[in-house]
Amino acid sequence: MPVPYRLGVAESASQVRTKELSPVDLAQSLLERIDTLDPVLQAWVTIDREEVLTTARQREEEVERGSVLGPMHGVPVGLKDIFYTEGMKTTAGSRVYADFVPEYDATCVAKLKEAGAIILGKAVTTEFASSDPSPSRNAWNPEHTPGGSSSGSSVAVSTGMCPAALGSQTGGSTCRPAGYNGIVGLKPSYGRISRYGVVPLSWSLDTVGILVRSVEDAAILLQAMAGHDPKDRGSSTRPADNYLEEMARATRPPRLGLLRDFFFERSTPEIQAHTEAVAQRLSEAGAVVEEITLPKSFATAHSCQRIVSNVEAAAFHQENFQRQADDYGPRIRAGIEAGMLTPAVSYLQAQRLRGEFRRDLIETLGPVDALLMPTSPSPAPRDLNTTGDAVFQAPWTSAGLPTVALPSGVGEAGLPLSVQLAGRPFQEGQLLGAAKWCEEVLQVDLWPPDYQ
Amino acid sequence: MPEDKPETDTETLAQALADHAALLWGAEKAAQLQPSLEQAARMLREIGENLPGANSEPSCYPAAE
Repeated sequence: MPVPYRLGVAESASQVRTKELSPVDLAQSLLERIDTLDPVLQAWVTIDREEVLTTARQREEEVERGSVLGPMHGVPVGLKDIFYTEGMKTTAGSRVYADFVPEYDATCVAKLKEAGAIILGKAVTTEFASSDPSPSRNAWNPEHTPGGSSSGSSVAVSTGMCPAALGSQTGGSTCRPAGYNGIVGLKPSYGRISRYGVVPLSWSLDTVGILVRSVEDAAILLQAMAGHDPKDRGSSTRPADNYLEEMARATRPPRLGLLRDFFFERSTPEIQAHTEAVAQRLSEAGAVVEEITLPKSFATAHSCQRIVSNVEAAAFHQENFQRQADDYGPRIRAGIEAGMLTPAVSYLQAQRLRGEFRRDLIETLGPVDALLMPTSPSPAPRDLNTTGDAVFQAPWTSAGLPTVALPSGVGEAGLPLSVQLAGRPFQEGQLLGAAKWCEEVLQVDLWPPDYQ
Repeated sequence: MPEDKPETDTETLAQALADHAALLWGAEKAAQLQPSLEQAARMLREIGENLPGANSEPSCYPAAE
């Protein structure tokens, strides 16, 4: 039987329900893992051991009484340090928020708790979920970036410090670090999970992300958190689907649209060859893989994302920035300043272009179940002064489409390789079904060699 | 020359942003911002060259579907 820290969400929850695993033993196993690994990897900001163990004991008593709260009963989850947690510091990785203690939980955090999850602690984020690097290290090689902005969440999941963690994505902050650390990342559709109680970077782009070790685990967390929240103006009123059921129904080999143009041009030869090999393997297993051409509106996708992100960040930070600009890191500061200088008309045109791009992409998806491409132009760069390149995520975030990063191998430098799938808005069930089918064909479950 | 036009446009835009920055934060700060202003100008030029048609996209905020 595997040690508790190696279990994913589905396995942990199942073993807790059947009393094979005590939530206290599981929590203790993770806390010990954190004690051992975190001095080097620096994935965590705040851990309240006492609170974690008290909640775990409570979950255990509930199981004994036959009262299971939900599908994540007794499963510890990490939170990027931008999610409000009642009574627990939420710093957003920033000096500006250094002493901020929220008085309520973010809606998605409350929903995780309702599903029975235990909040393990707050994971390191880059400052305000932007691009100034965090102190977290990549467990596959500490000289390489873990990516960002959900750095701590990704490192923690990749090394078994927690089976699941929340991240966020405004450009590429969930799927890119998932790829760099060899785990599964899900960025749902814009509006699918409430951002109420999540420190914003850019209101019309910010999306709550999920970092886990399997596609099934991603579906479990999505199920727990999806749904309308009137407190978030960007929240969709569409009812949440039954993602686990839809994923399980998708047993036929998917039809995949391979994106070579742009994505192959921007990739290293290793990533190009690897993505071709993945496409070939999926095709041999029965998937229909056809090349898809990007719509013309893709040309402005990155600029629109940056302009909107800069302007909205400038609006959110305006007051604090006027007071304490020197407390901001150089990259978020440059973004805010660029946002302050951007003409209002350009911001609005960028938003309109995003709308066109979204429509064009939905049309491009046409007959395919999902688009297939590399997750990043290269494996995690050997440079701790960057969080890597979000160029392969930003278009999907801008269009609000859901994406999944799926581990697909290990590269020449001993770093994880990953492919990304993109689906239709609010069709996460179909996307997760395609991703699960690919996961089963590829059979890639990665653990960093030094942290097995 | 026509082929110089896009670069000239970027320079003009970058200068306009620098002038705006100088008004807000002073000339020294505006000079420090030069690299990011050039990048911002390139993005603005890209938007300017691909403006949506007048009625092609009436919405300017992603709709909560």
